[in-house]
Amino acid sequence: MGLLAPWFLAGLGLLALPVYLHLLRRSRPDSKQFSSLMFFEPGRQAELRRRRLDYLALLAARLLLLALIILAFAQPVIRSSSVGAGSPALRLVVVDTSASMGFRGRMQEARRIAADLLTPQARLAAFDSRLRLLDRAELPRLEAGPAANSFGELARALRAFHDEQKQSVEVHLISDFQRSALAGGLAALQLPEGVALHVHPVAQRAEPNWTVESVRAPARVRHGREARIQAVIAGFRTSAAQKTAVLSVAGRDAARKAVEVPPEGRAIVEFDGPDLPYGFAECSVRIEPGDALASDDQFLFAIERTDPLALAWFGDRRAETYVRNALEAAAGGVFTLGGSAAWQQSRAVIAAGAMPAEAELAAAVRRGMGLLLVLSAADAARGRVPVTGQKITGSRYAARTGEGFYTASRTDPTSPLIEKAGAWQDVRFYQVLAVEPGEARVLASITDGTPLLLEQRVGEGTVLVLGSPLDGVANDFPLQPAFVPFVEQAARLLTGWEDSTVALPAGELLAAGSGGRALAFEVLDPRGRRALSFSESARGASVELDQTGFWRVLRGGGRDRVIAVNVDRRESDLEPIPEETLKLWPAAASAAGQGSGGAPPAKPLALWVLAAALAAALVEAVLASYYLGREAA
Amino acid sequence: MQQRFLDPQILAGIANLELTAKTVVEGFVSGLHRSPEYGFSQEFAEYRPYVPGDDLRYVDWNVYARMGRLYLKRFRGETNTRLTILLDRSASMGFRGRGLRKIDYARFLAASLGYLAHQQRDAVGLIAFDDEVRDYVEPSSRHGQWLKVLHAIDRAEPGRSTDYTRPFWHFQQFLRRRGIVLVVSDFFAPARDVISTVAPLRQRGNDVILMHVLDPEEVAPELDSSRVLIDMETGQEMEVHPAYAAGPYREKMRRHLEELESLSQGAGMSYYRSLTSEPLDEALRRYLAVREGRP
Repeated sequence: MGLLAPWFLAGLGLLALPVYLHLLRRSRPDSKQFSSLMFFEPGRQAELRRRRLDYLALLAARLLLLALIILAFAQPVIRSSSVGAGSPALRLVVVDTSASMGFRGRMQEARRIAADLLTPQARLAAFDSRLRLLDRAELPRLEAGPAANSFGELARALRAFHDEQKQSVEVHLISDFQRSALAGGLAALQLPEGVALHVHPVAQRAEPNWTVESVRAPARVRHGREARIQAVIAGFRTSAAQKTAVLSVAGRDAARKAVEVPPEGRAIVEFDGPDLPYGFAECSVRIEPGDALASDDQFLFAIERTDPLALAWFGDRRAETYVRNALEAAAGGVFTLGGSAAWQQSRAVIAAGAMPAEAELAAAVRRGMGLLLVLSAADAARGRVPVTGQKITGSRYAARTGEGFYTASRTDPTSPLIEKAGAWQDVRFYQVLAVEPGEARVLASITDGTPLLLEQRVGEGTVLVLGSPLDGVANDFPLQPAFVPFVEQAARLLTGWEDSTVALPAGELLAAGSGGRALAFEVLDPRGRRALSFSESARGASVELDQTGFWRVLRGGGRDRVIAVNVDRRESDLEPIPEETLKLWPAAASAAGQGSGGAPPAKPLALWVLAAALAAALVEAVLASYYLGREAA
Repeated sequence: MQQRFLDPQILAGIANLELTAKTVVEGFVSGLHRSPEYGFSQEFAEYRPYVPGDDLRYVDWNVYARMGRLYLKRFRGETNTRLTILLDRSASMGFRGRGLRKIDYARFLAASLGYLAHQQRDAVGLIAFDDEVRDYVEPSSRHGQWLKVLHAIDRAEPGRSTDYTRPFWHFQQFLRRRGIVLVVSDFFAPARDVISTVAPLRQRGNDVILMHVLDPEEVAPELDSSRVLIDMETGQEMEVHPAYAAGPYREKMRRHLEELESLSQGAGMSYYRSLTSEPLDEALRRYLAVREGRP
């Protein structure tokens, strides 16, 4: 039997209240005016006679009720001897290996404390974004990694560990206890019964630290001069300082710029038009001089220099003119619109009333080619959409319904084709082919609900279906402002063009659909070793980006990608958790985990106490009613 | 038969204060001659039974018509004295227990004594006070004086708390000539304070009569259960148990009354306690006894 919140017992002082009410605050006697009270003393005799407890049973019920409520607040528990009784607690020494532990001397201190705590039966674990059990022999080789840590994740891992062990666990956590790792607050740190937490801080105060916080650069350019690179240099708990930002391309320093970083602030430095080789250029921005936490002084990113991406055109020349002009106006030479001869070498096909052999086209789409189908009267006669096979149920003619024209009344603003194209509602559609969407995503539909623009995945490719021709007769879309951004966004979507370079923090998982849209891919780590094979990714396996550097995602068909992995920038702010919060943490954790290790799990009794309080309240009500009736009589 | 008209409860039914006073005095006077044990002196100035040989011109035929007996109605202006009535009209005088309000009883008393003195051609004055002098009618035997006094008595209603010190200091300024000073009060103050305050009047040659007006409830309070008593002057509240009221209180009150009487006599003052349930004649008698001793 014990109490989880014994300080609530201080509330027992409230028991004096009913006693006072029964003793001193009885029903007030009748009052009467008297000429003078000079011969009366302050009622000592009367008071003494009155100092007797009235309604003892009622008083007892009230005292009991109050005491039970206070006891419920104190959270009484009863120790169960059925689980874990008699078995010694397992000691688990957890060393924080997040990036911030690489700060001057912290890791050495952590290793020293861990060595002291490691008893022969104790187990060793490293923790950053996940908990890893290690062999004791690995302790001298433990170093800070690139990932960020999260104490919420640690609590989850400890709960899983405890479930596996089936015994009490005494956790000793050695960490710098960064504030950024406590994003979820203390509530996320609840530990299971039988887990006791002891903290061993290795950092006492917030250390100053500079970092290259982020870099903004294009993912793909045609020429190096098009690349505009913007880096943010941040200082945490720092004074004003002058730093030099160095842009490095393919291992060589390409540019240097001095930057004034304000105290505890940020500064932006820009590099324009570096000399980029064809293909993927591995770039970085670093600051000089470095500081005690070197791992975040450099930010990696990759830029691909490539030829224009080709799109193949099938269809009438008038519509081709509209699309070609729109592409040139918007994309500035990134895309080229080619003929139908070598369409297999193109990244995407636009079919407007004509198309290559459907079987070949469908196969190419399944391999990753993009396809924009602009439906025409010929498709209406066919009765189904090529490649996707959706049924065409008929045509909608605005003139026949007497409405004059249709508008795109319902649009999906989450799609870039809608969001960036803007004023779709101003476009007048006079003829729209009605397509049953099936599994496709409806991006826009006209007034009567007929789908106008559909998006559907076919294999590894994407198919867009526009239900109205681009001949300038069935609609005025090519003449509207929304047309140019629509064509540009459609080309980006179909060719898999990314706007910005992809740089992920260490510790992220790369899985199918997360690093790209391909279903199967091969991943090579920064050292060139295969981290994930095609067959593994096809089965849905993922790979953790556990090293900083350039990871290559190979998808074939010229659709490879390079992902730069950096130290998680949440580690750059070295401010520790406030001392008072840190003191609360083991208490909060042990409030759920039952205090010191080895203690048997506790069964809460608060509900039973509250039930008893309810019974006492009923008795009190009955007694009070009885006495009230008696007094009234 | 005439004593019935001295019963305070009956007097309370008479709305006119002057009529009340006359009723009291005349009832008292007629009672005097039916009670030989009082042995009242033939020197009484205004009324005495007729004896053969008396001048029939002084016979009061009105009295004879009502009583069937002959009384001489004589006026002896040369025996005049000054009667100053000090009427306590403090808040505590508004207490009403088992009989009248004390202030009503005191007013009857003052009016009756005033009327009696007026009939004897004495100069009558009145000072009503609580913690300050609230009303003052200078003693005089002029025509209309009686009505002035009567109106002043009629105006006396319970006011604020009692404070003997300040009003009595003023009295000494007013009372330049010697006479009879009649203090009508409930004397709810320590006896020594009351006497030390009043005694200077006696030391200046006045005959001082302390008329202690009390309600029977004040002397012997009877409570059937605990009560919160509220002091009428201070507003103080105190819970009192019946046993305390029946025991220690009565004992304290008794000691207070004894001390007041003893100290009064020691200071050469006449003290008379009158309960509001008792007839007024004894008070009149006490006044006449004091007056008798004066030249």
